Amino acid sequence: MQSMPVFVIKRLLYGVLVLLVLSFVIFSFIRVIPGDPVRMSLGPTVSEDVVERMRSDLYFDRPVVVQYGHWLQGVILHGDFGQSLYTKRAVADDIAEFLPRTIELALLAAVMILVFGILLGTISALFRNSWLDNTVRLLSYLGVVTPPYAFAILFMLVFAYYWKVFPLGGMPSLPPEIQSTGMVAFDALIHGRFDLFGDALAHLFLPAVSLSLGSIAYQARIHRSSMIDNIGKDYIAFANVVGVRRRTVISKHLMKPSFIPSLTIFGLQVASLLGNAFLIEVMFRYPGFSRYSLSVIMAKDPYGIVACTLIFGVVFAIANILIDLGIAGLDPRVRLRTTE
Amino acid sequence: MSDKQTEQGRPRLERYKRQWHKFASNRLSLLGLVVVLLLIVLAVFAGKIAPYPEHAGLYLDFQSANQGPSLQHIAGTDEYGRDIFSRMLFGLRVSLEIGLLVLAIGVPIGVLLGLIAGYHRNTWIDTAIMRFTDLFMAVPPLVLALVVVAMFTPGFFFAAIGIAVAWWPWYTRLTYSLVTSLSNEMYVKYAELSGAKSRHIILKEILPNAISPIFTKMSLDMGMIIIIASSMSFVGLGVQPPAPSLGSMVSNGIKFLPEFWWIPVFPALFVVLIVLGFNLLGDGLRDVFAIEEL
Amino acid sequence: MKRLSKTLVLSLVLLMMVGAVAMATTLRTTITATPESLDPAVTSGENDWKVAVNLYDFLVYPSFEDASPEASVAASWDVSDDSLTWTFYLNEGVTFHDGSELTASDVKFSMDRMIGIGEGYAYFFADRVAETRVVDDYTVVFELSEPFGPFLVTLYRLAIVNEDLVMANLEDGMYGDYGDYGKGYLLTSDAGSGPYTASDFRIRNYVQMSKYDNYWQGVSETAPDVVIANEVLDAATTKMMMGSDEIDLAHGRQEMTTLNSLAQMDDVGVAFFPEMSVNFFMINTKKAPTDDIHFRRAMAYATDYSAMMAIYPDSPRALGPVPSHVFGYADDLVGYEYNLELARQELALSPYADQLSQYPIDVSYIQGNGDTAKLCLQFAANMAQIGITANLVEKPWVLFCNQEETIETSPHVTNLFANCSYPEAGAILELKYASWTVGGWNQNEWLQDSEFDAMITEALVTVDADARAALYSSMQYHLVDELCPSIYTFVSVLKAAYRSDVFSWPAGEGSPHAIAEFNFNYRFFEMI
Repeated sequence: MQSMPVFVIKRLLYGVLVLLVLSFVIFSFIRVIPGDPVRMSLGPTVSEDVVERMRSDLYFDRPVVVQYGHWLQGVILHGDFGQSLYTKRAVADDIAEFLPRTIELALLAAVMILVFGILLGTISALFRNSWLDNTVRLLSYLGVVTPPYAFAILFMLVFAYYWKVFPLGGMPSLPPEIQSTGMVAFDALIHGRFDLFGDALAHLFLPAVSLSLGSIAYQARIHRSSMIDNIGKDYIAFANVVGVRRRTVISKHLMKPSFIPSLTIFGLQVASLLGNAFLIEVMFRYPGFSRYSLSVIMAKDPYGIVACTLIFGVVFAIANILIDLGIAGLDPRVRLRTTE
Repeated sequence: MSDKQTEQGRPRLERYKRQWHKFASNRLSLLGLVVVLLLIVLAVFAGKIAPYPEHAGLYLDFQSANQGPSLQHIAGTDEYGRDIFSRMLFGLRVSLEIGLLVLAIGVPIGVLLGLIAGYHRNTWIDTAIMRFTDLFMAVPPLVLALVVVAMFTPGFFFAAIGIAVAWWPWYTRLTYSLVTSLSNEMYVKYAELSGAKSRHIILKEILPNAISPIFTKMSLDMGMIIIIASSMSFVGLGVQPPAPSLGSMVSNGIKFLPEFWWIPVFPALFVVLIVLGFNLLGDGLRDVFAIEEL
Repeated sequence: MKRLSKTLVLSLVLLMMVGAVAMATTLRTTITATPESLDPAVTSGENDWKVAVNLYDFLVYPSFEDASPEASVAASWDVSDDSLTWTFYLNEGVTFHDGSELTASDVKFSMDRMIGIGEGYAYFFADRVAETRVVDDYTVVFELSEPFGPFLVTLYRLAIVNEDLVMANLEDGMYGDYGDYGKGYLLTSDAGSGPYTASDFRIRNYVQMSKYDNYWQGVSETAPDVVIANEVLDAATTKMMMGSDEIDLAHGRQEMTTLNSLAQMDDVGVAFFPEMSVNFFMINTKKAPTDDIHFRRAMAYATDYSAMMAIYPDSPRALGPVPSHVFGYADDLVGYEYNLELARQELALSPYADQLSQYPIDVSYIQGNGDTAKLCLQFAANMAQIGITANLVEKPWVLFCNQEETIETSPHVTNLFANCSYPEAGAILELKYASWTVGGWNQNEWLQDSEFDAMITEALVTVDADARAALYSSMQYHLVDELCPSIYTFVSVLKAAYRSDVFSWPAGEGSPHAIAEFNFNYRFFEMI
């Protein structure tokens, strides 16, 4: 029998191991491919000595294993992810600036997916085969098959250009005195700056919706089918026969088990969120981590690419662990089951 | 699941007939099938069907640039004067080709690894393979694909490789879980008891029964892969110009909003149609084979 | 009653005055990218210098009409007879943004720093300025190791930084006692004396500058109090923002369709100003089939220059590598015109004439600008007319640069704009064709011509302006007539759409500055 803390720790350790290996693979790979990133970054007019000096300062002239060791040491001991040749400053600074914004966007999108996906799925299942159900199913289908960038264009056109309800993109910045986490809306809120909070939320809304629509649709479908499966189950029939109130049947006996496959899918949605955030951030000029990652990848910035891959991996792993915890919390069978 | 092992010849035909009936009874699934078949025809015969096939390559005619939908140009022309409809058809071909290439690379690798790991379950082989798979699932697929492409050269081939690298783990997982559940079936145990070699068991007993779910997943995945490929073209790391690609047609066309709206809108709608077709088809297949894992 | 209304009126007037004072005028612009760094010693990009000219001052300042050097921080200067010793006499009372005075020590520090770091425009000075000496607070001397003709105009790139401020903000780095030489600090802060201070800089988002009222040359009331430059690359967003009154000035590198849309909006005008930049089809002279002079000449005659210029309207034709308004331009250059007959004749003289199908050429360009793509498409269509197969290859910036590292990986033709880093012909001639600049995006030609190298070396040490101009001219004849390493299409003209009802500026009035980024010295803008 596994206790919760042991389970979590095991998963965490395992995740760390995977990420270490992954980071090493990517680290080495980038240094093997042709092209000199330092020369690229400085330009053709800079003398060779200056290029050499910078190469040396960035440890690019050492063997790969030594470089990796140095980098890893920096990450673990000082939180130093190296120097970005793209932004010309410490990658750690870039992460601190851009990551919270993407997390904020992803959180908002994730909340939307969970709330609206489950809500729509539930409504659809409870009013099965009614016009409500059919509308939701149709919209869900369209939502699933439309690429996120198509939604982004649509929303920009409608809500930012024709009906000027929302701003066209970008994101306001926080004055230094109220910066705590780096997440604009959140910091504004906890510091009581409601004007800034509102502004930030307005800038967040369209990107979050564009990002989450496809996933809301998918989540709704999965949740719907999961609930329908459960509605047919014996224990529901039993509860109804025995006279349990419909409301209780729904909330207590139906929702909980329906959540399980739903949450499993939710994990996949989070993965697609992080992936699709690239396009949304580019389209809405949102100064987030995905856009930074894209730029860094296209610039072949060695320290940048490794850091971004690592961060994505970490965020993804944490999200998965949380979701697994959620599932375990809901499903006693998982909790009580021994591991493989 | 019925004892498929003993069904041969006529009973198998009966089974297929039943499955087809079940499939065809759902109108949406039929629609998906029709759409997909239509798309395949369009893609294969794009050269014949497209009104202006030369517009898919090097073509420049500024006089006819930026014209709206008309009888001569159903979807209008783009900034170079090229017929958008013709380019959409060739772009469709490119999308389908990428999807097929990704699956052709990713599925065999993924399934093979899944089969091996599943059959040698609870040995070091299993652990090694599954941990290796975890490595590739640690980051979101689009990120991994972009990193791979950026490390080499953008273009059709490496875009496909990049996506395939991100995709095969899901097939390993699926195959693994299928093998695990199938291994408990009577006929497999029976084969083991009568001394059949593991290779025989994997290929003859397990694989045929795993094909349906794998095939269904492939069909569902086509849509996803096409979206990812078009996303990569959107940021410029996919198919290179002047070859038409639906994603780059959309991303290049965005700057023409709202006046020349047809330039990005038609390709975007077309992507939606393609993905819709494959999804409907995949859903239909999933319903027929009653697969829970997907 | 009367007293009440009087008070009311008085308070209203007071409120309006306070309001007027509090209502800072803000100019909102867009840029293609935020600066890489606010540090003027490490950057050499257009977006960096559009900001730098506002934050910093220079010893001499380029004049509007022809970029000739005028007194600025330096009131006057002397040159020794051997042209190796340059003495500058500084104005007094020039203050940095923190209030301290700009002295000769700051000038020395700036030069030493630039050479020490070795990036950006340091290559002008690195092997030429042997020593910088402070004679007294307002006199500084540069000792050159060899005569350098364009020295004075290269000083437009020596921004004077506040020595004390930088030294107080050193971090660990690779410059020995100087640590990181303040690179970390100057990435996001300014240590300048210019008419504007950097009040906020978010990488890849925006740059904000505020007027410095104690600027030593004075700043007008009507100049914008605050300038915000947003990074907006996307055309649709630019149009939307201009249309919904969210920006006042768009960057000058819009694609033609976008510019046309912008120009049609109410109260939007377009300011034209030529850059010291030419659009080149750079031909690889060391790779078959473009290694043959006749093949290249054939390509030059087969190019439809008017069609190219139709893609970039209002751009003057360029006959050679030097823009026509730059010092040292050869006035009587003949160049090449569109002539298919001559093209075929040249091609017939080439050893590859009968095997054209076996020698297709790659034409590569940078992803991101649709108009450049059109140029290449037009070029390919032109080449097809004489039987040459041209394959188009679009690459993102980094991969484009990577392919330039060796002769084999460099494509046959690349299309790019190259510009003068200082306002003389030598700048672009050296950058593009000298043997020591191969391997980068700037030279796909791999010219490696010893005669040319000798000519440019001699020109750069010629101090007499006329002699230098004559040498520049002979280099242009040598290139265009004898070597034909590139196809020259047109001079780049920037077109900036702006709200003429919000502000006016010299470029908008028809008197642009000869150097493109100096048009964006907001001191000369007048808010309406």
